[in-house]
Amino acid sequence: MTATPPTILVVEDQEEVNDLLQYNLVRAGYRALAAYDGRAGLAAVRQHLPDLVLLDVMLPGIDGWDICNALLEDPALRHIPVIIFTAKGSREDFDHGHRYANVAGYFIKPYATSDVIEHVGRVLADRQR
Amino acid sequence: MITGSLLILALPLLVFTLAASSVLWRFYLQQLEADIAAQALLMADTVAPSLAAVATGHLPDGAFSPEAIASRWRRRSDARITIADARGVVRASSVGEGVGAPIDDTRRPGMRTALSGRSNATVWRSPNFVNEDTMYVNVPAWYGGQVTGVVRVAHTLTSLRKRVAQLRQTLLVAVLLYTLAIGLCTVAFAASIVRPAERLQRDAERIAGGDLSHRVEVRGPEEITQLARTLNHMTSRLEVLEGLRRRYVSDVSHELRTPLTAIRSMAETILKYGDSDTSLRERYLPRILTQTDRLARMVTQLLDLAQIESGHYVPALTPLSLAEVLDEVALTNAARAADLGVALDVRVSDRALSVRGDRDRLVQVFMNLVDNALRYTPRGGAVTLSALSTRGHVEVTVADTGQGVPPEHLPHLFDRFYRVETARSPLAGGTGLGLAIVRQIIESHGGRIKVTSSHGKGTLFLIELPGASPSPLATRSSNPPTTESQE
Repeated sequence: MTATPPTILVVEDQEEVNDLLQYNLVRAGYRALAAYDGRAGLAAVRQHLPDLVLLDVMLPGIDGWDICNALLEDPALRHIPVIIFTAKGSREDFDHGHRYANVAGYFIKPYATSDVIEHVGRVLADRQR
Repeated sequence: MITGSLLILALPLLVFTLAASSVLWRFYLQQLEADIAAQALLMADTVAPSLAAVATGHLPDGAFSPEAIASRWRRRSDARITIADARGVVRASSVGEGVGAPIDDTRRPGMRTALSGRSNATVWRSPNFVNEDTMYVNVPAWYGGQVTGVVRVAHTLTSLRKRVAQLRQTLLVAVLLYTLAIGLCTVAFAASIVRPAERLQRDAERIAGGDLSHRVEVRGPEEITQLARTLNHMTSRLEVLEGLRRRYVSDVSHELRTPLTAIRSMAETILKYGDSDTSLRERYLPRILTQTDRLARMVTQLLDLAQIESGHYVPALTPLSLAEVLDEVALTNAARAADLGVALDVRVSDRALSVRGDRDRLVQVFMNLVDNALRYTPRGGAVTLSALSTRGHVEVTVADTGQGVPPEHLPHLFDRFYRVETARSPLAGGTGLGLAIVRQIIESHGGRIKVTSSHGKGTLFLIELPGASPSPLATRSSNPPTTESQE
């Protein structure tokens, strides 16, 4: 691991799910931050400029797609990769995800946490190259 | 098909045409006979004195000779005239045949009959006129009480036949043109119906194929546009229903996946890091149990809801003691209420108060409501069940002293999966289906449910059920639940 581990922001309203993602990220050597609704999530991105965002679509307040848009509109934030979680799992949601340039992954709940952590590593490695 | 209808249309007209020409032919024939007979009679009267003179050899003054008459009439009409005297000798012939000779019966039949005083008429194909039917009238000429001769008038039927044939032809042409015109109109009309109908069918098939956003073009004759409008209306409703169905499936999927995600994350993390971090088990195993129970509850409730909403559920209505039902609900929840430090009371003024209902389902209603009330009532609060009778109805209330429901949530409280709490609320665990089930059960009993809430003071559910006596039939009500807010 490098001296300064990458920072991952988890935006997920289900508390225990969020906590477990953070736990797994930390155990995998990342620095993890948490936000439990859309607004707090957006604020956290702006404040901490994380290396990657794990984002649930169904959030109280503003939803995941709105956050994706907000990030794309900000030149300082548009490069931050986003991995999407959705519990809907419908074809429409999946297709929708491909419209956002910053979406680097898409997981349908319930996902395997190990897959998510692995994918985070892959996306970050791609960005570094 | 159109050819068939045209044949059916044309056939009676053809039959009519033929019948009409036949009737006309007979009518003309009769008229001709009458005309010829009149001519013959006139001539016979005119010529009778001169024929009498044949016998005496003296032609009276002013009398016409048979020759003169025959030639006069010949110039004026198509008729052929033969005049014979009383002895049967032909005295005049308009064609100048056999004059001076006795009547040839084979060529001029009926003349001798007329000499005996009997007029006669016949239609005959005479050798005189090759292949021409001819009508003959033989009339005796009377003078001074004696038959002095006979006048024969012959007329061919050729011109008459021509006239009738012409008429028939005209009629046939008219029938043909009429049939053709009707046919064209029919084809045009059928096309104006059939073509839009075919278009409608194509559109309907496209909609049936699943394209519910497709709309039929409202164009064409009245019948078709009306059908098109109805089809569009139906499609719109289907589209709305399909949208609701999709949303429901998506909601169910979401609601089931959410606890599954938590369970999977917890189990996965315990498996991976449980050995090195023993606090994980302690922390998450009970949560796995809770979430699994919630999931199981949700599946049960979804099935309940599906069963009630399918329309197959008809509550088995039996008279029930309301006090017993409420006592049972209170007893079942007593331990939990005590744990939560909430007072759970049943207040029924009249122990004999009864309703007609499905006992298990009504217990389910009050269990759900009490469960809900306990969930939102803080330690030291109270949940009260009470019942009273009003005008044939029984009113049951479930009141709590919780924080109340914000007014913006009230209209949605009975919607499936609608939850006032956020998932992060420590009291989370509701499935969002309890109140939807409550409403369905109450309505299937012919009852109504209302909710009122005031901020910081509590929430009150009011249930109105038909009383047990006099036993009113439960009617399925479609009234939406009423919601009121008291600030």
